[in-house]
Amino acid sequence: MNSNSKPTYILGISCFYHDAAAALLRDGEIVAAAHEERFTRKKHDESFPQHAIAYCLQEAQIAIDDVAYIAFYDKPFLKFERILESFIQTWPFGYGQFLNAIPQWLKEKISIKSRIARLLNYKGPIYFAEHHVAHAASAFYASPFEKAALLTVDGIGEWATTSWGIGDTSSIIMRQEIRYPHSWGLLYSIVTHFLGFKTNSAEYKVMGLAPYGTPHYTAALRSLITTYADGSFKLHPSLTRYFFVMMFIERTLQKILGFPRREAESALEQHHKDLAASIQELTNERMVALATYVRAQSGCDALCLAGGVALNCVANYHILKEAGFDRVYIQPAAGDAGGALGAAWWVHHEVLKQPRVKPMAHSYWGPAYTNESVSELFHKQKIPFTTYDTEELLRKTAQYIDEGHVVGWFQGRMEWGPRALGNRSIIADARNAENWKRVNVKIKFRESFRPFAPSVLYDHSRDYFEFPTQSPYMLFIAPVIVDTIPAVTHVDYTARLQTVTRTDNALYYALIEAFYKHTGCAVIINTSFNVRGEPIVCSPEDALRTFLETDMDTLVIGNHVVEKKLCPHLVASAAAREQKQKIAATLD
Amino acid sequence: MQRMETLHNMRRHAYKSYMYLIGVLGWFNTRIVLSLIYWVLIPVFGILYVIRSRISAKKSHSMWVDHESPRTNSHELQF
Repeated sequence: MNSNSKPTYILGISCFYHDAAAALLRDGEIVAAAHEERFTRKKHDESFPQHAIAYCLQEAQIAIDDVAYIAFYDKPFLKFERILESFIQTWPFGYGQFLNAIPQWLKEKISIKSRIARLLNYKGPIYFAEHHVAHAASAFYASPFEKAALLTVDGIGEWATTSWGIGDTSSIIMRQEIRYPHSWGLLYSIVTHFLGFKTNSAEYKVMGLAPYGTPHYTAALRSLITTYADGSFKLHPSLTRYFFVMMFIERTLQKILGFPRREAESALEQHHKDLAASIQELTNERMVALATYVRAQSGCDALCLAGGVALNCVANYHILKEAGFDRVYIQPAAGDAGGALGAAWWVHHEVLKQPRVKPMAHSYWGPAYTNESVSELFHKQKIPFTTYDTEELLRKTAQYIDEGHVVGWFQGRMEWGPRALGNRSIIADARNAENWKRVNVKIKFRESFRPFAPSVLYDHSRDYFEFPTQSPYMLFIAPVIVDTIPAVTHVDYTARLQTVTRTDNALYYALIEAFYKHTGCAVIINTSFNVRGEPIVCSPEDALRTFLETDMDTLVIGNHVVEKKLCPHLVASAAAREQKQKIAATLD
Repeated sequence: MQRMETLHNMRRHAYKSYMYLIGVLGWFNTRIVLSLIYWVLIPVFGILYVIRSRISAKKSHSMWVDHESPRTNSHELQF
């Protein structure tokens, strides 16, 4: 730990539920962190993150023997105990799930310690953090706060579904929790399923759909929830009794809502939108109530939020506005992937009792590629391209955006967390309303209702949005106060905001600044560089493939620019694109 | 008070042992064994579960419970 000794490496791992990931610390500082899905190209991949681990070790230029500790993001035996108890609670309706789950648990999930040791050929100590402690650690140790209240809300960990505690300098103490089966994350997922979307994956679509509806069903949904003055809540036995059996839950919801579950990919009716609006309204209300309680109990004026529900940027905005905290911090990978980082930090601070080093300054902890490797790829694939110096590249790209091009922007290290924040992004002109539909349907192959997020120069943020602070990780919405950026203005006049400073991402800042100088507009569309059903691109190969298979006009990787019109022979045919679109819908 | 706590812990450990018994039997991983566990053992444990729930049930005005941590003295353990 001191300057004379070898650095201490801690590898954090999260996997076997959804969003597997790995993160590597060197003396408490992040060296690398990445989601497994980006390497395997399987969205929300839950398998053992061997590719992400290999990348982390490669980034640090070490071998597995150099890793002093491995930290896992939950306690498997506690989780297994909860699962077994759930089968008692749901008996006799969970038989099918029992036959599926138990062999899988006994074969793969219960022996995680020996499995990690075997798969990595690792002989050192392996530690297990509690799931919500890992979440809390991932937020607090990344935050700039010396002392803060911690609130974690997700679907399920071991037993806790919601918990709060206090982080003070180098330690965190969890105080209270709400336990399974009373889970707000699971309730939101149930509604997501009822609306025909994939659970543990498409909850953000429900959030995006909500502004199209009126919350007519809040009273009906309230009949399934008991709430208490201290913000805590209890789900009705008609839901908890059948948590593993969706058929029964569907019946319960159909009975109280008066319409059946929407089939995936079928038309979205007004009542579906109203249901989305209702669950979102209840979520905003509950998250504010929980945070208000934590504010009163902790006495802290800063809050660190984590867990899957902390990715709900609408609820986050309401917390910031209404719960009484002066500052709210959310780490970019607030969901389960972030548990890898949290578990590693937990070992560093709680087990090894080491002091904090510095807060997380940005979210770019994934792999980067050199200009040489990209030009080699283009030569190999016979792709015509032009190389510019950085200043000219920025000027040229700003000009392309102004001319209406949709640009694939691939730079530097890949983002950590589910959002593309300017290094693996598709960018376009926010002033052109047509871009909303064009990018959704022709490029992302996704539902046309889904909104796009704006990236704005932080210095100009208040000219467009009513938002008091920075939002570097796109985890808050903000009211839009102008009508000049329709492509990023949702129907309720809000936007999922990313503020950009030079410190966050110098090159991306310079690009938006170049666009601002060129057009007078300091806002661009920023959506993740992927198509529906696929993870965000990781390598130049992924980016090139996505570029050629969609209607994107221009691809910028490093200092190289490829224009679609100059390589028509490589563009996928309309039939191939239609096929891709169909496949994307099934994978989503 | 201490005796009550000891009894509570004993009950919890007994209950946990039953749970892990299901796990151990499940190791055999055949449909017959799994079916036997599900249709015979789980209902038996279900009765214990109901008794345990009744004993610990109390009228509450909150769903918050204290976080018990660490559950064991070793961070290396998986439970």
